[in-house]
Formats: sequence, structure tokens, C-alpha cells
Amino acid sequence: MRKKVVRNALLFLLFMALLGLELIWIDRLFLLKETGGVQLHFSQLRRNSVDTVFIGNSHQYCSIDPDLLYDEFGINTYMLATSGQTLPMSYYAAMEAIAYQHPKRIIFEVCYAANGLITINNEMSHYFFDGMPLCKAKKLAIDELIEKEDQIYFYLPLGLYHGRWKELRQVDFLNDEVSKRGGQKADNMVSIHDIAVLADPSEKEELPEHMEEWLEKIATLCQENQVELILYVAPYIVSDGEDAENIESTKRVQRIFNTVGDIASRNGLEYHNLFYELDEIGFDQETDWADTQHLNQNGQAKLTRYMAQKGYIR
Amino acid sequence: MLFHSLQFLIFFIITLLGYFFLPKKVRYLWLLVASYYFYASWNVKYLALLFSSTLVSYLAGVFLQKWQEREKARRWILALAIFLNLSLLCYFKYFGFLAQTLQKMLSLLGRGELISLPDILLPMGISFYLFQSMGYAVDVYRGTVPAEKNFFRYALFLSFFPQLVAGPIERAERLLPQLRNMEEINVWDSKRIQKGALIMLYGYFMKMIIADRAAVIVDTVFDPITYVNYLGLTTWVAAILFSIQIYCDFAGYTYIAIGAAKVMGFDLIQNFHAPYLSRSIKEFWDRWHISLSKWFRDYLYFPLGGSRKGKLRKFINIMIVFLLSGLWHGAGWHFVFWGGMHGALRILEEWLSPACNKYLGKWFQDSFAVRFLRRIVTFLLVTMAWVAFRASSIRQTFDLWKSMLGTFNPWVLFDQSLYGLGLDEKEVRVLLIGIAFMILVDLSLQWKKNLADAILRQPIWFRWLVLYVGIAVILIFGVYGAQYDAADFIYFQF
Repeated sequence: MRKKVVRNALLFLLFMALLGLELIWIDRLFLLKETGGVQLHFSQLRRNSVDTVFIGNSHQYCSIDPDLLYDEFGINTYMLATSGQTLPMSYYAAMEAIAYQHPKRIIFEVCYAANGLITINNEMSHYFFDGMPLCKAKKLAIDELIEKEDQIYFYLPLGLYHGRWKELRQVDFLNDEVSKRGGQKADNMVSIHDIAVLADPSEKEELPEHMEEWLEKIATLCQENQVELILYVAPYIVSDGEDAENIESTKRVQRIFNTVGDIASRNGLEYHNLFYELDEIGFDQETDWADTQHLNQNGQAKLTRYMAQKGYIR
Repeated sequence: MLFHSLQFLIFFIITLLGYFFLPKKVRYLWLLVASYYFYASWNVKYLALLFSSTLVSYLAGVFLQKWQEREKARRWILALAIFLNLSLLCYFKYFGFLAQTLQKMLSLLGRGELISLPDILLPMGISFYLFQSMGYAVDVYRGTVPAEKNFFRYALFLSFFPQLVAGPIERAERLLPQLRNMEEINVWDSKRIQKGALIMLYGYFMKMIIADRAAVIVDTVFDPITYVNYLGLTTWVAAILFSIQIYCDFAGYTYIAIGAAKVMGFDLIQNFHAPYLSRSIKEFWDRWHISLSKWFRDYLYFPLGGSRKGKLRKFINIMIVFLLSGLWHGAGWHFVFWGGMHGALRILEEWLSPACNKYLGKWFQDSFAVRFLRRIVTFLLVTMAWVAFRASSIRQTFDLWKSMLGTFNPWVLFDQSLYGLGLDEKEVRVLLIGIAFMILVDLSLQWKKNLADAILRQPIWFRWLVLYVGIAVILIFGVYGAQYDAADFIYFQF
């Protein structure tokens, strides 16, 4: 009798384990690969196999090509950046990166320091969370950033996107939308105006509420874990228009980026405000941009090479 | 806590763990606590109602058994128990309906303001457990079952969570002995657990793949404001889909309930037996919501005299039962109308059948074609009646019938316009495959083949495969999630 009970218990455990695997497979199949693929590939990397991790939002992944960095410079990096990844989310991304990879350095694109948002909306937050494996960073981030009644869908996102069975494509099964280093490329091309640099490096403006706090938290986290943190801001057209309101908005944001430099110095961090290196980078307004905010693959390659050659990425 | 919610799955797993691992002697107490928690999850105030009904019928049972020699006192006790239970039912379910009807009548005289409508929330599943409670009192009075002495065990009989909010309405003679012998259940019987899981899975399939998908088209066409835009065959399609929706919704719930009870080692009554394969209205009611039909038969139809007092009285009794059955389903005149319609069909069927046999017998001798025709006719009649059930008013019912019978537009089946009712082509395909599978299961029931038993006879890898595929199908094709306005099971409102 006792033998039978033990046998049944073991069979039950085996059944549940296989069921768990089935659920994970279904969850991954239905995950939006354009967004969740970044986190998914990261969780599948061999532990401690990456030297440098990039964190940030779409500005970050449109600016740097990790595959090019490896192919041309031999730098082993991973792009842990998703659309709408705010500063607080990047803090938890850094926590995740340290826990899984403990990289030598983290390179953080800080443009969201100027928008002051904790999260943009639930849809954008899903881009960050859905592919993320269940880990301490994910739990803390969900507790901190997501409303209680919505939290369940961040732990079990299948409830949101199982309706995608109608639109499953090859990429959903092969998961090759995002490169194995998290790289993504924009292949469209638009012509843009000049990127105006309207604030002198000496002009400063306070960061929106809580943003400095989160920057400090990221700095402390890296310091405590002996990970080098490099901050930079990639250039873009802050506010497209020549009226007073747009000009003021551009100035305000660029003054904030200057203040980030102060925060970096205070914490002994390297900071590159690339708005002041536009001439050296040499973007082509006709061929390098996907839109006014993001570089396309031409611009991405140009900026990636520039930063690697300057030693900003190492 | 809906059966198809994550909360229920967590609740069920915790309940099972407690049930499997706690000492045998306290299992029933554990299930009682779980059942009360389950009911409180809707509204903790409802517990008072459940407890009151439990106390009333428990005490009635005890005294009905104790005072065997005092017939007059026993009658008073029984009457009191029924009166108290019915009072609760009338107050919570029908008081608002009565006030609304009175207000409408007074409005015709220009004095509608004399009545203000009470704001009474209908407690979940009230009609089910109050009927079970009354049935128990009557059974003890009749001596069919002995009174249960253990109050907590009796409380579990009335509140057993799988069947608490939408039945089946269990009989004391079936469920109470199982609860008394709970200690003898081998909780680790893996085949029984697998069978229960399979039955639950099929219930989820009916609810989440078929019922909630069909509901999209039904809700579009039956919308009380825009229904006039849909005509003829479009309305027929929606009406047929509602027949399927309500069956899959209610039977789906029942299968989950039966499966959940089975996992724990309890057998609940089979509440449905392929009802849409019936060849007459009488047969339909022998196969649809069997526990309610039997309840009305045993506790109302027979006491009214049944068929023992002549044909006319029998027809009157049938009509009374069906009108009350309609009212049981909902506090609204269209429900009464629906019940009356079934009553009328049932009487007509019985009244006309000798004449039909005499004059049409030779053309309609028993054959596959005749049986098939009878099934189709019965299904269409039941579907017409469901229109009255689903419509928001009697007026809407007549409008819909007029549209169904008076508009010729078969081209809607071919010109893609059915895809404009809320489901795209791929969704419709899934719905049709789901319905085909449901028909297959019903046919297997009809041929007395139990699909679950057939699967359980297969090797373990196949049984597991069926479970894994079933779970995957429900997770992928089921209607649930954030975009989904968690539709309650239709029968909860009764």
C-alpha cells in the first residue's frame, strides 16, 4: 500500500513537472517576440558569459548594435533594452543583469531621465516584463511599479496574449526576431532636420521628480556589486519645431542631460553626452534616421563604431 | 470565485492538499471550511443566508425524526421549514420583481411613484441550495432518509462547494451517505483522480471554448436595442448558438463540479444526458437539468396528483410545474413565458400523440430518418423557446420570432455577413470544431459509451497526453484573460 502511495506521488510529481514544461513552452510560443525576445534570449545565455550589458529604452537599442560590436571589435555584449523601459525599470534590468551575468560593466542610455515617468502604461511595461524569467528582480519590479490588480497579468501574461493563436508566424516558433545578443535594427529611413544643440554645457536643470533618486540607486547597485557603470545619452531631435515652446522644451531636456553629468561626476561615473559630439560622429540626416528620435541601421552602425573606437564601449 | 478563474484553481489545489493530507476524521470539517470560504468569496454576507437555511432544515430534520408519533407537529415543522426557505427565496429573488410589476401596473394609472423599487442583491446560487434544503426536509418527513445528526456534516451537504452555486441539486439519499463514509474513501486512487480531471477539463472546454465564444454572436444579435438590425437566418444562427451556449455553459459548469467532486472521491448526479438528442419535449426534460426536473417531479408534480387524477388535472399539473420552473429560472415574465411555452408544448405533445400515431403512423414508422427528424424538430422547438429565455422582454421575443419566421435571407450563410457579428472566420472555425466535438461526446453518451472511461482504459502515456493536449487547447483557444469580461456562468443567477 505504502509502495503504491509513493509510486503515485512520484507519478504525480512527474506529471506536474511535464505540465510545467508545457506551460513554459506555450508561454514562450505566444510571447510577442519583437518585445519579449530581448528578455527571453537574455535568460537563455550561459551564466557570466557577457562582458558588457546595455540597458535603456528604444533609444538604446536603436543606437547600438551588439552583433557589430562582437564581429568588428570582439566585444561581448548584450542589449537588455526594451521600448518604454523607464529609469526604474532599467534599475531592475541592472539588477537582473548582475544576478544572471555579473558583467564587467553596464552601459546605460539615460534619455528617460528627462521624461520623469515611472512607467508609461501597462502595454509598454509588458514589453519589459513578459519575457523576463521569474526572478527576484522581476518580483521586486512588479511589486514596486505595477498596480496590485494588474500584477497577475505580469506574472501570467498568457492571459493577455493567448488570443495570438490567429497570428502565429515562423518567428514565434524560431524566436529569431531579436538577435541572440538582444540586438534590433530599424530598417526604414526618413530625412530629418538638423539636431539642434541649444543648451550650453554649463546650463543645468533639475531632473524630474524621483529620477535622480533612481539614477543614484542604479549607481549604488553597480558600485555594491563592483560593476562599472557608464552613462551616455544618444542624440535625437528632442522637440521638432521652431516655435518658442519647442525650443524651450529642447533646452530644458538638454539642460537635464547636463545635470546628469553632475550626478555622474558625484558618483565617479563616466558620462558621455553625445549631443556635444555630433560633428565627430557625423550623422547623415538623409540616410541615418528611422524617425526623429531613433537611428536606423545605418546610423546605428555609425554610432556603434564611433563609441567603440572612442573606447566608450569596451 | 468563478470555476474558470485562477483564484478557483489555487483554491481547489489548496483544498485538495488539505483533503488529502489531513487526518481522515477532520476531512469533512476541512471541506466545510473550504465550502464556506468559497461561498464567502462572492460576498461574505451571503454566508448568513446559507447558514440560516442550513440551521432551519437541520433542526427540522432532527425534530421530524424525533417526533415520529406526532404527525400533526411533524406537518407543522415541515410546513415551517418550507415556509422559511421559500420566504428567503421570495424575498431575495422575487420581491424586486413583484415591486417592479406593481410599479408598472400603477404607472398605467399614472401612480408609479407610489412604489419604490427595493435594492436587493440576489445571492449566488440561492435557488439551488434552498431547493436542496427543502428537499431534505421533505425526504426526512417522508422517511426516505434518516435525519443527519452531525450539524457540520449536514452543513457540508448543503454547502459542498462543487455544487453549491449552480447545482446539481443533490438529494440527501445520494450525497449524505457519501459524506458519512468519507473516511473510507481512498483519496490516492489515481484512476479516479484522472477521471475527475478529465471530466473537469471537458467542462472547461464546453465553457471556455464553446459557450463564451458563441456568446459573442449571441450578445450581438440579442442586444435589446440593436436586435432589429438582424433578420431571418442571422437570428436563427444566433438562436441556435444560444441553445448551444446555454447548454455548454450550464453543462460545462456541471461537468467541472462533477469532476471536482470526483477528484475528491464523491459522485454527483449526472445533470445532463445529451439533451439536444431528445426526440420529444418530454424526453428533453428527462435529459436537461435532470436534478431540477426530478426535484419538481418528486416534490411538486407528484404531490399535486401527477397523472393520477385524470388527463385534465395532469395537464394542469404539468403547466403549474413548468410555469414555476420558468419562475425558478429567473424573476421576469419572459422566464414565466418560457416555462409556459415548454408546458404548452409538453401538453400538446401528449394530447396530439395518439392522433398523430393513428393518422401519420405509417409514414413515420420508427426508422433512422424519423428519429433524426424528431430530433431536429425537438431541437428547433427548444431553440424557439430559448429565444424567449434569452430575450430581455416578451416583446423582443415576438419581434425575434417574427424575424426568424418571416424573413427569407439564406444568402447570409454565403456572403460573409455572419463574420460581422463579433467573431472572425478563424474564431468561427474554432467554434464549429468545438461544437462538432461536443456533438461527438453527446453521441457517445447516447450510445452509452463513456469517453472518460474509454480513455482511462488506455496506457498511462496516452492518458497523460490527453490531459496535456486538453490543457493546451483550453489555454490557447479558451476565451479568458484581460480582454475578457469574465462572463459568469449563466445559471449562477438562478
